[in-house]
Amino acid sequence: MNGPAFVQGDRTVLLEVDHPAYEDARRRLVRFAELEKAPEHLHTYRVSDLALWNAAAAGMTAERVVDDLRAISRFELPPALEAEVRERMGRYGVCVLWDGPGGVGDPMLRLEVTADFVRQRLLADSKLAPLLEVGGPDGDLRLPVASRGLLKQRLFAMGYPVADVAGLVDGEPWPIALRSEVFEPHGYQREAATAFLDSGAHGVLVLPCGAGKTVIAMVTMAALGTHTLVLVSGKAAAAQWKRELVAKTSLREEDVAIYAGRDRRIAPVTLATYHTVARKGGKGRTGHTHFDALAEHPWGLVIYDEVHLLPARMFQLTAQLQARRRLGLTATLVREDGRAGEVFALIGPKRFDMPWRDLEETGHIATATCFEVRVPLAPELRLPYAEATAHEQPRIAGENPEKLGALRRLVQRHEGDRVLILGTYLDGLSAAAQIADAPLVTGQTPPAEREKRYADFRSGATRSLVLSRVGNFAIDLPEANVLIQVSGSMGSRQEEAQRLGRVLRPKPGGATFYSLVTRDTVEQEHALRRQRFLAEQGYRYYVEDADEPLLH
Amino acid sequence: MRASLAKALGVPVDAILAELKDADAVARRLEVAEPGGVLLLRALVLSGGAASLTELAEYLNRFEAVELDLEWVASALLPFGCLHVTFGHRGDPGLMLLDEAAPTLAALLWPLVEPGDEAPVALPAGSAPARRLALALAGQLAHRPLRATRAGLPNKTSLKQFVKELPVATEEADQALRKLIDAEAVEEVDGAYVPLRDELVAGPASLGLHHRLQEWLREEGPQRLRTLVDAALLQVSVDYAARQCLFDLESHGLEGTLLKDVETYVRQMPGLGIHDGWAGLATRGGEADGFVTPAFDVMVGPGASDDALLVVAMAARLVSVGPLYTFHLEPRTVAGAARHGVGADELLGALASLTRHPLPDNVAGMVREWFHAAKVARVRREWLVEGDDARLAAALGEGARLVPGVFRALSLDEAQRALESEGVAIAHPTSREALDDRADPLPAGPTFEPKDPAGWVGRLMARTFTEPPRAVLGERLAKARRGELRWTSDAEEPCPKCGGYHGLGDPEGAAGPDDLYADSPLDPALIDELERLRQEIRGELTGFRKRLVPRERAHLDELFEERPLHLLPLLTLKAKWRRRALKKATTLDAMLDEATRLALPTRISEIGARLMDALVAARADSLQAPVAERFEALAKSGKAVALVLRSGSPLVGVVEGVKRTKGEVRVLFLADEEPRGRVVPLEAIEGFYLE
Repeated sequence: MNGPAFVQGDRTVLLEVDHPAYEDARRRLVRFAELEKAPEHLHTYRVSDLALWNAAAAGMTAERVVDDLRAISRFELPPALEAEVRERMGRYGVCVLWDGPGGVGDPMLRLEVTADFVRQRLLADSKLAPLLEVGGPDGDLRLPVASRGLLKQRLFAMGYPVADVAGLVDGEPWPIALRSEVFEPHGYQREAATAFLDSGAHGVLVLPCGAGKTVIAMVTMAALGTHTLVLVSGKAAAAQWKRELVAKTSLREEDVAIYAGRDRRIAPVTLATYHTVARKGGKGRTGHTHFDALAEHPWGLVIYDEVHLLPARMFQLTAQLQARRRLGLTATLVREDGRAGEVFALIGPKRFDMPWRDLEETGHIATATCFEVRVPLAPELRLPYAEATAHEQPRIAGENPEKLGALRRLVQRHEGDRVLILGTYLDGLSAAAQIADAPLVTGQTPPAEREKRYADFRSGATRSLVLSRVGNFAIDLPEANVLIQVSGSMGSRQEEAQRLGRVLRPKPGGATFYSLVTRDTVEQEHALRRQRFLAEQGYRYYVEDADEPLLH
Repeated sequence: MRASLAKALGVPVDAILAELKDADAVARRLEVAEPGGVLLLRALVLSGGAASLTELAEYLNRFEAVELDLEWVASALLPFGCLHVTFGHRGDPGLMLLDEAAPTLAALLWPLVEPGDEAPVALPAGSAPARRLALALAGQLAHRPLRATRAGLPNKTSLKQFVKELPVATEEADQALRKLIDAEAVEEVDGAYVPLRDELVAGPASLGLHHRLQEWLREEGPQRLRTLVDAALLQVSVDYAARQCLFDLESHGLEGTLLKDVETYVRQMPGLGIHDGWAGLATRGGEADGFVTPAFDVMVGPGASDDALLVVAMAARLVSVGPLYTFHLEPRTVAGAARHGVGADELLGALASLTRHPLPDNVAGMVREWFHAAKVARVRREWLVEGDDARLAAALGEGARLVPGVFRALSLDEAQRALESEGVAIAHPTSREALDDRADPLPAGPTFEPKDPAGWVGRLMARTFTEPPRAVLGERLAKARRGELRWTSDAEEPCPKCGGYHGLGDPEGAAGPDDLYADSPLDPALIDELERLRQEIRGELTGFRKRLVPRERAHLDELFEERPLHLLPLLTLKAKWRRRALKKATTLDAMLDEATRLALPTRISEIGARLMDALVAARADSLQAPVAERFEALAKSGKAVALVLRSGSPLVGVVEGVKRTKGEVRVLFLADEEPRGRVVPLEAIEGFYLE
């Protein structure tokens, strides 16, 4: 045995990247393991329950999983692992959801349960019992179509995945074609779309920021040719999506609507924010005005952009859309609230993922180098910081005036580059904008002015731009090659990844990411978490003192 | 015992001993011996030299041996130095080998296989999973508390909590921790256990390998298969750094289930490894087959050195166990390591030694920051050597230089050896402490006997329950009283003197206290009291023991087992005065001297008073004549005595001589460099002991 993998007793698999058999091992592993960390030389996978169920859903057997592990392992497998894999995979298929007797249009679904004790638990469940009927010659359980999502959630919570083979509503057809004269999807983008479509058209695709998830969505939409609802994280993202769709597909302006509070137009392709959809109100079926309105439409595909940001309250509503094809897009399945399993249950299993570094090596995203620049707290702020509450301390540290000197040096260092400066606290950003002599875009900036500033940056009329948290999401500024983060947001890993994604479009010379951190404050603790996340993704992270900059 | 054997065989003692050591003679005798007898001898070797007949019968059954008349066979084994004895609380009959016979028999019956070309050069470090786990768990103690009870045992709730958060099975972790505690590789300090790094990585013995194996031999007996490996490996009581000893499992006819049993057992033993059918001492590693990621994850490969694994375990949280031990570095864990004497350079060096790729810059930077933030300084003792810079550099190495002309040495012994090799003498010490150090050179460690061209020859580990009884206190006394450790044969009548059966002759006794007690019908309550005192004193000695340097601890243990009266000056003092004695000296003898000097009636402790009362009570029965008369006779004989004075007076130490003048006795203490007498009235002497 001299494989590239170390299989641990807790079902993590450490894969040595530099081993000659790495590629083969990786191809085997991704079928039944989730990539957790991908630093330079050693990637960490986990043979999680979710991953095993994904594999079972794709037709893999436990024997095959064990054989593959044995084939790639450098040492003998842990004694209990084989039994665990069998047991876990054996749970997939215990519960199978079928269409009712009437087929796809039948208002009832049929649940086949092969294990008596699971069946008993279901019948005893306080939320499900009222919805379940025992009937038919086979004694199967039946439940209304509308309860499909709830059933899957509850069973998942019990540790049993549901093999949902009930049909999906086709939706209203609408032909969509890619504009090949404008762009050509990359190979990995087609691969991801194919993986989604071949597996039943419900699931999640995990790719790094800057990898072109929107393109993958377009490829999928073109393949399905149906009315599509796209749920996004915010208005700016919606605007960005619309631009992309109109530019790169056969869709016209009037074919794509942004459903907003005032403009409630529904078009063949409709974009709506999570926030809008989840807003409570009205007397509709779910008590959520906009969701009820949108749910009535014959969508053939629902796309969840940045699905890791799916608000918890959306899970319930998402459960109502189970009859539709569902595509989740994300850079990371990590959720700070730990509810990744519900994403599996309600949207679908992960169908594709790719480590950031792989895309970097193939040139599909830019090579990035990350720096953490440590700045001392201004003397006049030491006492206020010490006396501040835990809530106030991040702001004091974030708006530390000492950062401005470091910012000035960085801007001077990158004179000639295209620099984005991002931050959370507006006072500090205003000062930063002055230092960098750059325009500032915040949530208060009118949309028209915002677009103009983006356009100026793209064209090169301005070489620097300062952005508040609006810059976290879905702003397409591919020319940027330097990102300076002057203040973060409590160590959110998603935010760190999102911000880095702004500069990861492929470009010569790669990209540089700076994070200014006030030393010996709560910012430093948060920075450590973010540092860890990026390091897990494989990025080199250097720590630099503002007074003793590293040469790079 | 030897006399008994000689008498039974009708040959002089010297002749019988020579015969027992003559390998050719023993081999010839083995060739014609009954197969069952040979099997019994093999079993005895495995047991360390003694086993009850019950245990031997079980062993024979394991190998489906024909049922034998064990007692008849035992008689036939006399020429091999095998005696028929009794032991155990119930007086179980058994067999015992003389010390002189055991090594020869061991070498003939359980020869070690000389590693040939097919043998691995060394067993990889990763083949000793138990040791790796022990080190990883010990390291966690640096930043995760495990509390101890007042009795010095792990607090159960704390232990549960400790193991609960570890990625190992609770039972497995629990066992490993207890072994570490038993092996004194972790120590209780201020109510919590801390890892003793030097003890943990000094070698297999420091993980209690010797100690543990001895214990298991005593406890388990020959019927357990694991003693096969024990005995085979114990045959080489080794200088572990010098030789790799390998035990070819299959050559001993182990296969199938038996082989699995042995393999399982070996894997559990710290320090032992099993690899490709060979069992033996695993190497201590040093390969860079691990990883350190920029996300502060550390993966320690199977080839990592013990020290690197331990240092990482002390500085990082254990995440998972497997072919790689994975850890995660955190500020909290690094601070814990700093508190236990690990330095930043040390940790970075350990990380660099175990990873096959360069250490990530951010990891190195953050580790230094965390150490800096921990605000811990390390204080340790080293030896400074001052002299001619060039000569010292040649002797001790450039790396040992602190400033020109001043070098550092880890130990006086090391310095002495190194300097002597360069022809440099060491100046005389200038303090009493330094004098004490020079007066007690480090004893030589266990050595491996020269290899016999005919095969490896080792020696058996010392057996502990077959020595002639010499101790006074507690459990051995109780055994003697209850008739254990006596000689038996098919004689019908018990000895009128001691109640034993002496078909093979009278037991050879020592001119010591036990003779006195063996003659007297002691009150069982007194025996119990002595046993209690022994336990209490042992408990008191535990704390005292920690103050001693390691080599002195063995000395203390030996004294307590063999000649506890030597310790009485220290034991009878109140704690405060005992501490004062401890402060003054670093060696045991010096402490005893100081304790003797401090001993006054008002300073005797409660245990001391009880002890003296018990000794006096035990002694009183056997007094055949007034104390004074016997005492004088003994004093004239020139034998050293220890005095027991009347209750209320401290027990004095070893007396070199006495002089009687006008109803008083001037006693001289053995350890004095100049006469330092104390005068006591004769009437105050309650008893005495010969040393």
